[in-house]
Amino acid sequence: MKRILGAFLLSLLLAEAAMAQRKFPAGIEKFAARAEETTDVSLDKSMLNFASKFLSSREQDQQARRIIASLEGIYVRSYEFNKPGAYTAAEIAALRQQFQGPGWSHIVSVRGKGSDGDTDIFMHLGDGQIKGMLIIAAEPQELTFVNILGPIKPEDLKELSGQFGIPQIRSPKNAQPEGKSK
Amino acid sequence: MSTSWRTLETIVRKHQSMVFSIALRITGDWGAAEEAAQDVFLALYRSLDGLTSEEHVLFWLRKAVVHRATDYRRRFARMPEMRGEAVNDLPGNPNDGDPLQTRHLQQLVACLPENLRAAIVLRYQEEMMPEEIAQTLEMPVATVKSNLQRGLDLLRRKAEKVLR
Amino acid sequence: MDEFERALMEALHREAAPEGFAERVVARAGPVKAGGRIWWKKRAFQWSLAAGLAATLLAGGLIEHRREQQIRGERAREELMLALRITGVKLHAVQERLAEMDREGGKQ
Repeated sequence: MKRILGAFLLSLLLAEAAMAQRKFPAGIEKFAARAEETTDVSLDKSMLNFASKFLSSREQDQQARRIIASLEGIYVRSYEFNKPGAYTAAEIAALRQQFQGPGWSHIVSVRGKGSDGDTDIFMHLGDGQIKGMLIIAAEPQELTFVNILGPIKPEDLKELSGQFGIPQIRSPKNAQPEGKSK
Repeated sequence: MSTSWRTLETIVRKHQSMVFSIALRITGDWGAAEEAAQDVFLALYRSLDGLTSEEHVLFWLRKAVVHRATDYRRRFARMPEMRGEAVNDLPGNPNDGDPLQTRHLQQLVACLPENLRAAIVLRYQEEMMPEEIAQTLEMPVATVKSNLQRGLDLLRRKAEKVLR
Repeated sequence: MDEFERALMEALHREAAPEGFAERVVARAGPVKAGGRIWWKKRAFQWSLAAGLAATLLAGGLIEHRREQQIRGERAREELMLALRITGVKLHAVQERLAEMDREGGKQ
């Protein structure tokens, strides 16, 4: 009995570790066939370090340097479709489901109005620390997955949302835990 | 034309200022302008075999950058007005007689309605004639002239309002 | 052309492209497929790059090597900025929506 329980717990841990290491949710490759255009950026630690050497002294580049200093990787996959309806709500729900297990916290879930789309943010936690962040952004004609591996800090998130040509807005009262908007 | 990297590099170095500047005036954002400008040269690289002369390349680049920059502007128009390294943050031209007016005019142009903005940029930055602008933007000459007049009127009114 | 138009022409002078722009364009012009892996992960390109480097080093072309390194580095930087830009856009959309909810909540 103990042996069975031990094996079961080990398999859970291994599954969780595998999920953490995966760059993107399982099964998203199918969207490529439906997409008009795909953007794929995969930067592991060594590539982040390499890129960092070529950042300039401009403010934007220096902010990038600060953000990536402690990261282990940044992975972005974005699919653009030529019309809405290329994917179903069920498919996206199934992807979100992959991050409901232990070690993951679904910290933000916003449902947009009309053509704004839906965005979910998951934090990967371990040993009481943030180990990464996953964003799933589902818009009518675009599906984007962003996986940041490493201890990304809240102030980094604020920087990310306020730079690189994107205007910053005043923060609302902190993002609701499990803040589901209906 | 050869499509070697060196050919591309030569073309980019020759026309990068023009392409980037048009993109900057249309998007109003430094980062977006660089991305749009890069996209244009990459598209040119794929189309080089179909271009027959230097004039053709120039015409093609202007047309492509106006379209690409306009697309970028529309895409980011979902957000509130673009900031980051916006036009008013750019270093001024050392020859500017009045840096404040220069930057303000740059800002006003960046805020013009889309159809007026492209015509104004091609006329006053690229010094193109209305007939050339009409070919580039694929619209009747009369429409270009009308857009130029309306754009200029709008800029004058807004410039007077602020600088008074 | 009147004074205002001359001022407008002066204001709309051509700006110099950002430093390293040409290198970044050339770096991006490498063999990348939309939907495929970025170029340095293609084994064929890795082999051709390795062969090219060996030849240039043998010929004493260290300058060429540094230039290629520069191009690869600019390419990596561009990929990084693109990734951060996309991330920023998505986070901003969330911020906007949350702020909107906050405002709507305050009105009730």
